[in-house]
Amino acid sequence: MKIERLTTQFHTAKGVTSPVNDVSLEIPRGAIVGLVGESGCGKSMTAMSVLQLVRKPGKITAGRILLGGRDLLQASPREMRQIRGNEISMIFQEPMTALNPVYPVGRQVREAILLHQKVSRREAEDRVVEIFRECGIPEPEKRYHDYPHQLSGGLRQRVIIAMAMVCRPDLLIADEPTTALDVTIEAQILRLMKRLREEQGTSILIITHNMGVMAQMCDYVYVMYAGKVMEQAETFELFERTAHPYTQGLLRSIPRMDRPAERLYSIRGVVPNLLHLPEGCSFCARCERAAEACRTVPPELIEVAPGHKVRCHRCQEGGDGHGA
Amino acid sequence: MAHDTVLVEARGLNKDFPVAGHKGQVLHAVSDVDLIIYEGETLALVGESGCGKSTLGRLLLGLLPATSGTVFFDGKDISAAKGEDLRALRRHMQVIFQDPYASLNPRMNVERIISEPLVTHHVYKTGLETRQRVLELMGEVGIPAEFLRRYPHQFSGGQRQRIGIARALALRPRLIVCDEPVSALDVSIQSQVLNLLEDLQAQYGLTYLFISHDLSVVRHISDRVAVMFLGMICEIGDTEAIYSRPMHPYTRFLLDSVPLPDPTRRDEEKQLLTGEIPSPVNPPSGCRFRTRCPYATEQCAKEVPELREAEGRLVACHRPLGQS
Amino acid sequence: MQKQQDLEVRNLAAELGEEDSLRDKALRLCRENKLAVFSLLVILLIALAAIFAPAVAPYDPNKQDLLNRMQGMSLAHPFGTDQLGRDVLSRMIYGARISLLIGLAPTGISMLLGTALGLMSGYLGKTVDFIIMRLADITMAFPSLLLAMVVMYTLGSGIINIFLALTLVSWAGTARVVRAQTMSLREKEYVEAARSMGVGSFTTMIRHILPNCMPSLIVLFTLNIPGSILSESSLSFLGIGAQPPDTSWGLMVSEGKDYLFTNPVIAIAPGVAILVLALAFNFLGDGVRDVLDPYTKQTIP
Repeated sequence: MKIERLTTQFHTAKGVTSPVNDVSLEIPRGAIVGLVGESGCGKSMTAMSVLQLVRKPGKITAGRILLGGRDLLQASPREMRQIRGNEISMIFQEPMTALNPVYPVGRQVREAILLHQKVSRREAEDRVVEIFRECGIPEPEKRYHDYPHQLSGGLRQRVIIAMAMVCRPDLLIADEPTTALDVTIEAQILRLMKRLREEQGTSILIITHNMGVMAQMCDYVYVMYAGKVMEQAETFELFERTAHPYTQGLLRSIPRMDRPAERLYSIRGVVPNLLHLPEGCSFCARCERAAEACRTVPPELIEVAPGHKVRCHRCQEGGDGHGA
Repeated sequence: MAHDTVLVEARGLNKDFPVAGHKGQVLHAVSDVDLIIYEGETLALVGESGCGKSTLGRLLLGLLPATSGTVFFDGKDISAAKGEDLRALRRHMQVIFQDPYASLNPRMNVERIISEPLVTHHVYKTGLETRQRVLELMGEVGIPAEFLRRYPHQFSGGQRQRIGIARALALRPRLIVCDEPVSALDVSIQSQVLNLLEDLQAQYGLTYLFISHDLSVVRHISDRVAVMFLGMICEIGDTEAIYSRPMHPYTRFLLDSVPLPDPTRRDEEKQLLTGEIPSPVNPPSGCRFRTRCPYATEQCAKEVPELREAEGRLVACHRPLGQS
Repeated sequence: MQKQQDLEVRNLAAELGEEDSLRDKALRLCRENKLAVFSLLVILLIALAAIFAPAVAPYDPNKQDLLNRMQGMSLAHPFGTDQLGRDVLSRMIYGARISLLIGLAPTGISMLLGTALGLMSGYLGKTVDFIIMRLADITMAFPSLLLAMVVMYTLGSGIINIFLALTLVSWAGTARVVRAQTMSLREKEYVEAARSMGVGSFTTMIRHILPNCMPSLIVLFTLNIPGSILSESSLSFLGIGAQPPDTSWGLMVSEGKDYLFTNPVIAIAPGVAILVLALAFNFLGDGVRDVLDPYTKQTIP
């Protein structure tokens, strides 16, 4: 799976915004890739664009989305429907609203199979029970007939994962999969996702604002800010040699449980409005190291180390950003 | 810092809610809680959703009537106070709410929101004095004075939370109950608000009751921590001590579940808590945690463990970790 | 030092201007919503015509001219004449007095009553809620016309009694709507915040809950006006509303409907008048609601 220079724009009465601006991602087979950023940075919109679920007035205006050599942006709506849920499936944040409250959960998962594969109902039902078991749902035969409201939040999220995994997709997009869950349940769900990756070789794109989830789960991380990728690197590289001032700020501003308390760093200012982005680097107004060039010239994504790219003028001047 | 003056004391606090549609059944939201908050400290209340931490916070403030038990604020019985006495007590305790979108009346501008407590308690005689105090408060929380006439929807989440803090500070209270004050905020904004809360505490000698499910934030901000499970306190004591060496099995599992923002500490073999939180309508007999506890014995099913002193903290467990 | 501060606070206040006064809001309404202003003019025009009816009306409304019965539209009689040869336009101008009064006053009174009861019911809950809601159920279960008739027969006809009858019939609907809104608003954190500050129940209702019910109340008000005008016509039709030879728009419509195929204008003209009045109140209500709503103010760029 490869996304090349994807841009999604929204035409509104107040002007044109680009919540996804020239984003390129690469998700190798069997890898867990993270897309990190704060609310409104365009991370969810990127996922919606991949599945072409962007609603009006939004529109994908440029780029290619390649899945196994095929450009999804050229696919017909009919083909797209076949791809969604079958080759690429998505898990949403809210485990309550993603399930229809008037049908038993097993039936909803069965529908997902029948939609994409020519199997008998009987076979589909067996598959559902099997996937329920794989997803760690206790007493799968009994749960099959339960309605969503009869299940706890953690179980509902497992059902949703089961529904997403039942067609053995190549790519699973998980949009804040654990944000609505309690920590003990979160840990269980994260472990389940890792296991599914190992057993079935599914690639996973995790969208999150939680640095902990990212550090624990991902092989490779993209940091987004105001619609653009600011930094991308392998997880270890990113944590050890954080280059972009925004990524550094994010990592320093979270309270750490594994270290004694000290005063938190805080990035000054607020996330800019996408309608009124600065001319140069979109982070310049909040950046401590902003120079003249940052305010006028938009920086490019430059490779500073193998597999580590940064969009910052100041990090390219003789590597002074490394290890800061 | 030594905090030894008792500000709030709760004794044998219980709160039951009737279960809708099931006559006679009750939900035990808070059961037999004894708690002391010392003047000037930050006591954190942690636990998963539905553990009763928010209910306990409201009981301590007298916003909900307790089913049984008493709460003393500065030696005065809140549960017995009525009318004018209660109003006078309310001056000394304020709340900061979780959702900065719901906690400010959308039809009031900033001036009216922040001045409401001042007007309610007739603090100043003239409008000018009140306005001056409002501007002073806005300065303290970092809201520019020219936003006096703006409405809540014109602010970002972080700014709204600051307005809520200014409102809570207006009467110079002694106790502020912070109910998940940063969980709705983005990472970079969260650190700004946490720092602000710390600064204000240092400046005014405030006492915080900090209710949160985020264990990292709790470790950062609190002096002491109380861990709740299903309406009961299972461990309470010095934050550093509990985080470095939890003695209640639930505390241990809770701390272990948090995904650390450090990729070098991926502990795949870590034992995770299994199962789901039991229903507070029919809690398990004896120790309420025993159904999920790998160390549970017959004694745990029979006797409710009491909070007992152990290594400078109180633990409610028959078989605390590290002691055999 | 203190003086210096005082001065600064004053200067800032001067710079920002005082809180949006009623005048500012009225000005904003004029600037931003032309349709609402036009509606207001229409309502004022009808009201003025009703007040100064003797000066405005071209004929005596009750003067019969049996030679010129059932005339169509003409220059002499713009809306023609009715079955007794009375000028329809003049009758409409006089009828506007009762119709406006009946449209506005009972609607206003019943909404005040309904709002107060709804707020109490929703906010205080428990026994208060139970009593008020059972009363509302009873009034709503009763056919409204029958209830109004009972009131009118017991108390006798007359304008005050019509008010009373229409108020009794229509308060329950408002109370229900306000109660539902109050119950959801009561759970909002800002209401809890007010309670935690020590703000009393009454102040909380007035300050935090009522303003947030306003949009629905305005819509209800504008929807209830035509309803009231029409209910009055039913009462008049039964002989307990406006007493002949006095008339009202509603009564004119119900009288005129018998001649719909011979001379439609005598029924249609007052019917259109009711429609225009109702629409005008509707548009005005929308405009007022927008001006009261802080969300329509400019947001931060």
